[in-house]
Amino acid sequence: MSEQLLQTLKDNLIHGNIDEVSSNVKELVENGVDSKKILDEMISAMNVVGEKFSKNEYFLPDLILSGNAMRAGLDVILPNLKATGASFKGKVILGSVQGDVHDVGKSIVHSTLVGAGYEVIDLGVDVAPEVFAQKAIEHGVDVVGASAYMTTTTAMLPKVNEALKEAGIRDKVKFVIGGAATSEAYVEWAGADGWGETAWDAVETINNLLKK
Amino acid sequence: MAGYLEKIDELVEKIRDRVSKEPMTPAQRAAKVFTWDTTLDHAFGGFAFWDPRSVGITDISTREFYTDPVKMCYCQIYAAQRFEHDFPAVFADMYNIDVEACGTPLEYPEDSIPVIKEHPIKEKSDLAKLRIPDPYKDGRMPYLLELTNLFSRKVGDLFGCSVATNMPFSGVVGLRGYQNVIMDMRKDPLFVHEMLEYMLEVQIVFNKAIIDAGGAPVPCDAWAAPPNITPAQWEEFALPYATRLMEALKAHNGQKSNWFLGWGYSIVPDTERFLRMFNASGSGICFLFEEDIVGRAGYSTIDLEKFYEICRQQKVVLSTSLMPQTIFEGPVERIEKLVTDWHKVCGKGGGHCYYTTVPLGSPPEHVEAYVRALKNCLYPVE
Repeated sequence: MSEQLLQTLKDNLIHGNIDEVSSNVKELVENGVDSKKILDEMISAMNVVGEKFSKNEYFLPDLILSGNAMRAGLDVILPNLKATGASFKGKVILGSVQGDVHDVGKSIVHSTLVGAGYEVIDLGVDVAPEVFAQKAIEHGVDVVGASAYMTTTTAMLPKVNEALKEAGIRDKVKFVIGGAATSEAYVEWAGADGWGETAWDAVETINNLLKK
Repeated sequence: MAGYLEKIDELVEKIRDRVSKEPMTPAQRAAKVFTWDTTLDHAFGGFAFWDPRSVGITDISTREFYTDPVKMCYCQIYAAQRFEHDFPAVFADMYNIDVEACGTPLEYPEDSIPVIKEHPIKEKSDLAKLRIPDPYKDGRMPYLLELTNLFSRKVGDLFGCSVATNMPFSGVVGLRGYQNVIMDMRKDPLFVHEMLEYMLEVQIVFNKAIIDAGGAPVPCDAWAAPPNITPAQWEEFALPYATRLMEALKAHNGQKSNWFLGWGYSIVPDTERFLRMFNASGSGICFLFEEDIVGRAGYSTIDLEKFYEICRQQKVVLSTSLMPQTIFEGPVERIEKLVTDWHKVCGKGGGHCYYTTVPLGSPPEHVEAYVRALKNCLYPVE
């Protein structure tokens, strides 16, 4: 029964059926299924979504719907996971830089990182450089991720790096950048440690940086 | 203000002097591109920029760039003289101006493009509260009309006067927010069509006013470009409204307009079908970006020769466009090679031009290399 429901959960996640995912997860929890097992099934579903996106079978709306469904499911099981002391691979804060209100790419990175086992604090959009630094200290994060969607807002990326330096935490955190207006060439310019072209690249970049 | 008007006149005088020594004006070059005439001297192309600092202007803030038509006009003409490109135009924040006039609040940071503070359609019932703006009174529509009129009067005969505007789908994204539109397309598609009908009406009125001010609107729809929406969503929610806007503008001025979709041809399952549908929408031009040509930023690759051939059959000019990141990163040799390679493929039959964006922080020598490469791409192509 639970196995069948886990499969239904996976299918609903792949198809971005948000309400159904939420109710599937609730039912699984009520049936006493281990939250870690539910999370693993959800991560597996998100991997399918990522694969479909990389093969151009899925487009951004599909990612958004599945990402939102993932978050809806996580809202149900996250308290259980924390209570049982489940460990995360690392803690990441994400935000779109000041002047940039584009949320889409960052939200996809958020969902993908969660799916990959990271604890993520999303600062939202239009985030001032000093706020990145304050929140990094407040939450004791391993990684600070800043996104710039527009060519005009890339100028804020080096300012985030400066703010991390001024707060005295630059050597304690990894600083990664992304967004449609960036490329690998921006890493040095922005004083960053890494860059991700896609959400899945971002996860790989962070995995690699934290291994060092 | 008189200061910048005088500066514009000084620049225009220099440009006229320079252009008078060339075999043809940029406008004449463009006319040959759009009539598939291959007797032009060299490749036609230009660039947009979204911050005055991108082209070395430091005495005008980004906020002034987007709010003061005289200063914006000066910046465009300055860049045309500084870099000697063929396509200065009225490039303001096209995705904001109409939705702002509809009641979308914007913020105007000193050193960034204006940004939407919140989307006015929070609930379905909010749509009924919106009215059709008066282009001569509401928001910054008058700014764009004044800018169009000024640019057209000063240099319209030399460069034409292309004015970037918005398309219905991208306008709806401004009114409702991208993620909400994605959810609406899944849960309440009829509501999305209602919003699109409203936006189409707004844009017909506004674009007609731009034509009356001496401009040639270029409605842009980057929010509708794959992967932002799926090809099926594009066919249902974007293309029909874009086509209707094109038809309305043609009925007003008797000319084909150009519209910008941008990216994603390489990642749709059937590129040829998608391209043919775009070309049949009434646009005079199709923009194809480096991402799709060479496969960068998550895109695949397309067969440029075949793509160009389809455009040629449908008599739609092909604009091959460098990524802004390429202008930022260089090196000069790569910029020159891309421009030259594309000319060899697309230059033979005419109907080909170039476009890019110059992002903040780009070395001027990269922009110079781009323009120099265009001038070195001669006709006829051997």
